Amino acid sequence: MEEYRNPIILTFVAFYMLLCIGVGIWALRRTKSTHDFFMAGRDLGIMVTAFAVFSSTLSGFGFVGGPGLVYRMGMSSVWMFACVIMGYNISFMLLAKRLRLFSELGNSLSLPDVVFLRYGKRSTSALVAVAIILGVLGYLATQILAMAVVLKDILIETDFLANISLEMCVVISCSILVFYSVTGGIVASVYSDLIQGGVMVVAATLVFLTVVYTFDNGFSEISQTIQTHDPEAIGPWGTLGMVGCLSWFFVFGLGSSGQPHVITKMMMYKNVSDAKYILPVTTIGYIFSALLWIGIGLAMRALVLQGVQPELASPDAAASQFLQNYAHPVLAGVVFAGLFAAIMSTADAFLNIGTAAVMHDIPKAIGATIKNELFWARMTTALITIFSAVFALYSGDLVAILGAFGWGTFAAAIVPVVVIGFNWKQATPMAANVAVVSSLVVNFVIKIFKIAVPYNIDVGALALTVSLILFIGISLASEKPELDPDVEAVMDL
Amino acid sequence: MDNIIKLFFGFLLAFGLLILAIWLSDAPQNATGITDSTYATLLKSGETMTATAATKWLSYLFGIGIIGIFGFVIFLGGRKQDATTQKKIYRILGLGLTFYFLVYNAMVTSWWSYVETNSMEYFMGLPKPTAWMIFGMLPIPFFISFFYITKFDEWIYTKEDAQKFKEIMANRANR
Repeated sequence: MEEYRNPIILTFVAFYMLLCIGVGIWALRRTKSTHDFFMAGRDLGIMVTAFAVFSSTLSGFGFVGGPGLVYRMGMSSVWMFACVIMGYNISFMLLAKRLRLFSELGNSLSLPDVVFLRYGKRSTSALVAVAIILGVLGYLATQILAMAVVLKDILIETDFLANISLEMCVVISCSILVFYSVTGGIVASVYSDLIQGGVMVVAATLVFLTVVYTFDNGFSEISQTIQTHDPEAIGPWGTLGMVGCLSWFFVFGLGSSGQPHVITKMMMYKNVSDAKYILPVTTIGYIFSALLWIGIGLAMRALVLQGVQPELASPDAAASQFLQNYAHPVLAGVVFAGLFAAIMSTADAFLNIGTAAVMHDIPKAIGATIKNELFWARMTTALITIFSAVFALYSGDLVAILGAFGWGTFAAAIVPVVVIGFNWKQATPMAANVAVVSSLVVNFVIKIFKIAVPYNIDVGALALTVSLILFIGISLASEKPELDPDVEAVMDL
Repeated sequence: MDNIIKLFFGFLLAFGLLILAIWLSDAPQNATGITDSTYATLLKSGETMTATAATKWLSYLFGIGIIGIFGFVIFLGGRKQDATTQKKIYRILGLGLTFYFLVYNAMVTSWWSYVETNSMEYFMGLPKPTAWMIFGMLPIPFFISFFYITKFDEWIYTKEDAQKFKEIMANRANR
């Protein structure tokens, strides 16, 4: 079977992509208005919402960058995962009910729409939309680039496409993404998330078992090998140290409730009481999917230290090298499909919120109205993808800066305004505006001027602390704002 | 409500000062790792945060600060109009956060001992402090999730809440 490894992988990836196209065609019939295109008619069931939430959270990072970080730094990056249950608790306790009710109250199409409903100021919703657009550009471009790089790695192993260019791989992968996102909007996105989430859970669980059975003494052998070389690497903080790890714990724990592509899904489910079932399914799905991230990273570090595996050319090759050398060809096929699933599920979620920001939120903020919104939503989806693809290929370091900037910026800009502000009536529009602007300034200044932060404290953690202090401080120092009585009544529920 | 927010604000200011103190403290050598001399793609640890008493305690407090912020935020989400229900919610949240705090302490003290003694004790294939992290810090918040799942209809969104929301929507439609 080994000689058919690459055709098998290619078959799984092709089958997965055909499945996405199929979902796009099916969703086309269910998408008759902008409300369907952006909010899935607020009609999603428990499993669809739960899988959409966790598969949008776990991007290609969990399947490529994550194992690479564990390979390079030991346990350090596991802190991004160790906070997941607390993070989802915060998201659900503070947002699941509130966002769903606000969304129905204002018949909202996007996160900036509900921000406007809560604060009553166009400037606040416009600033949130701008933060979303900046984050989307970087994130989407990095996802597209990751998709193309993986596709190229697979195709160059074949006889007939050995010389395929990266540009052509971008065209192929974006065409699939655009097809199902344009035809079916968020409906296609969330139903493909259901498939994608399922593939990710199965693939990650099987890979974790493969990791354990690759070593005679399972996980103990992995631990002992790493510990003999460097005891701290398998200690709780890895090689990064305690403060850097805890800053990840903070920004990924609290920041997960500030990721717009994730929390927007909380506006789409059918019954408010479904939230109690969505939380456990989401959490368990994420934990199983993340097994791959930790398992492969630690296994590859141990295999290199044992001399079984030559040193990797780059840490990001950890997952692909493990799959090529230690996984059964069928499993490798499932995991590569899972990898595309992880990337595409995040990319389509970003496309959706990016389209809403460009086509709906910004025009609304400046008082413009767009006729035939559904047509323009589809056009905007295609245009954002093309722009992001060009940006990914030709912007050099800027894409990396914006990509790295995404999570922390969203956390710092949106946690105070949405997570705190939707649960505290005293929060003012001025405080919200300052919080968004300060989050952008802190993130951009530190990244662009390459300011060295001691102990590698995550920049997002600094920005989040600053924006929280400013948001609460300014609100406490201001008079209580007048709220729409219905909004106030909903905040009492 | 305002008292919680005022306390939270004070806590955040203290947390900001703590970050400043960490920023200004003398960092142990290569505190964030160095490139391994044999394997260029692997990092190896430098001096640990326990190298000086100041960095040891500042980093410990940094973790306490983060758990405290999680706590304030989640308490904000547990607010209810009905004082009795809110008391019940706060009791559960308080208990969950206390467990979280205790497990964090167990993990950190176990790590201090691991660094000092080069202990080779394992639990489920992992060194003890790492096992505290994976089998303690990660799953403990399930306690709060469990309460959210089982008490949702009783405490988080009751039938009365649903009825009130219907009335709000009906009134809005009539205006």
